[in-house]
Amino acid sequence: MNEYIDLDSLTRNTRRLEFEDGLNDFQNGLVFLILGLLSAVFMSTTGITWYMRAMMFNSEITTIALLALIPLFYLLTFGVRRLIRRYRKNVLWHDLGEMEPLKVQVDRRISILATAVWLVIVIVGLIVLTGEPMDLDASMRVIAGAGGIATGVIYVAMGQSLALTRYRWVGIIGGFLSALLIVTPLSVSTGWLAVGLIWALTLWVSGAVALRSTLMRLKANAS
Amino acid sequence: MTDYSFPTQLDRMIHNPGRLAIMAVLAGCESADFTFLEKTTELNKGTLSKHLNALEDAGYIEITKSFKGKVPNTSGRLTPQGRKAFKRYRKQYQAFLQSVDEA
Repeated sequence: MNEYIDLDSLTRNTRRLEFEDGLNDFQNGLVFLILGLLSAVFMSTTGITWYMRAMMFNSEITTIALLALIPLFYLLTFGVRRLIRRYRKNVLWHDLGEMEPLKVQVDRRISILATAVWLVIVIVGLIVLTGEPMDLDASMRVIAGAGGIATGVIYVAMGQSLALTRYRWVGIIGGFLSALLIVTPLSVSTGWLAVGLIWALTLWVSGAVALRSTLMRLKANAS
Repeated sequence: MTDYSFPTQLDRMIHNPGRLAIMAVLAGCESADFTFLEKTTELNKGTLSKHLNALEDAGYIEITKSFKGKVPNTSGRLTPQGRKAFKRYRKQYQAFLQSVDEA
């Protein structure tokens, strides 16, 4: 063993393993897509109409069905997580052994920064909008877009702390597209769907690129 | 006159290169198995095993022994005390390096 120990590199490389192969991006992209879809459904006129009808038909069943979405969501993400673990164990990390990633991957300071960014954009956005007659669509777009920008801040900061250039780009592209969304004339529901789609697609492209290079590296090492 | 003496408050249990590498790897995850630690720290099996036992005796790591099918599996994780000790060690060591740079 080399006597010189680069503490930061050892810890960072271990943390980075969770994100290096891109599989995590597929999972997070799926979460964004589901959240975007659900928000779009519940904020659309059609969704609200269906909800009112269902409540009038049977309020108990409707409430139970809606509450069941929460464990279903967790079950789906848990299932995807298990698939990722199995794939890593059998293919990607076959010779490396097993590692359970940290439960909290985002540093508390980064979370505080992202929340502050979100709050500032929402407050400024709403103040600017209230100058005119209040536009509900625009104010909801500000809230959704600010969420997208705050997510971008988190990815840029993670890219910085993990020395992962891919995440810096993910954060910049996702954050920029989310900012564009604020000035795009979309309705409440399509605005939320758009944020979900922006982040799902950005992360899936990032995941595909990372997975491809990981598989190519594995192939090169094997031959 | 500049004091170049090595800081005596540094945790000697962590300061050993092998144990330091184990602690640094475990600080980046919840837990890791023996193979993972062997590959990432580049320690041989015997040395790794010895260091793991020493760190467990100090209360810095928790070792779990189990079976995966018929294959025995050993994994380790930092205890809250170990995580705290590693954080403290890093701070002290960085302060020491900085004082050397400034001197």
